[in-house]
Amino acid sequence: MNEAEVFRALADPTRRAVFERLAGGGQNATQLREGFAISPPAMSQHLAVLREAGLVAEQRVGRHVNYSVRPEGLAPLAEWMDRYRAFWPGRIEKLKDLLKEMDQ
Amino acid sequence: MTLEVSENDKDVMFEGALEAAPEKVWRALTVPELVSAWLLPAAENDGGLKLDGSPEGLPQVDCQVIEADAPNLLRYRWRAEGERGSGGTFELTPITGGTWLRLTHEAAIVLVAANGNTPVMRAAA
Repeated sequence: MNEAEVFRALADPTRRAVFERLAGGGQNATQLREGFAISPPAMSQHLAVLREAGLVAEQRVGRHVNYSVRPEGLAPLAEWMDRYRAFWPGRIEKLKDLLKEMDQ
Repeated sequence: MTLEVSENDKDVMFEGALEAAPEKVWRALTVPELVSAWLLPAAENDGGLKLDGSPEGLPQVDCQVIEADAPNLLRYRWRAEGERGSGGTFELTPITGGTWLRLTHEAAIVLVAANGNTPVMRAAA
């Protein structure tokens, strides 16, 4: 699992919506399809991508498979944000310095 | 003059006042020699900028201009080596004595054109 996979998985609006739904609590595929106008195979495909990216875990319960969010799967996204949260403030200070030195 | 920081789950946003007119800030954001002075060593590259992060142990960054409305809105596709594409948006609003800058760096992969819902960029692998 890496940053690129996590970003790719969440790039798709439907997958992001599926992920957000699961973040509200685990569901099986049938429950999960409610409210999404997509076919069972399409949902399976989305879930497979989310699982491969480490964002979603599945657990067999009787005849159903339950899907739930793996919160640690979002770590690459958090790292990305930390990186730029640290990067920009210093740059903007330098931009202010530059603006003082520039001619109109 | 401090910058305020806010964030949601997929972008990093900074905003604050700059003591320069939007036109001047615009040049600082777009002219390679000036970008080099505050961001990273920059060279023109195919209608955008190539930033060289190597002196600081950072990646090379390919910045392509997605949208430019001088001197108010500049949207870059920010593609750092080893990262997914992301979007950097600079919004410049004139205020008394300068410019209000809002910088949004979004991990959101799909950038939506300002004029509608047409995705203009979907980061490729």
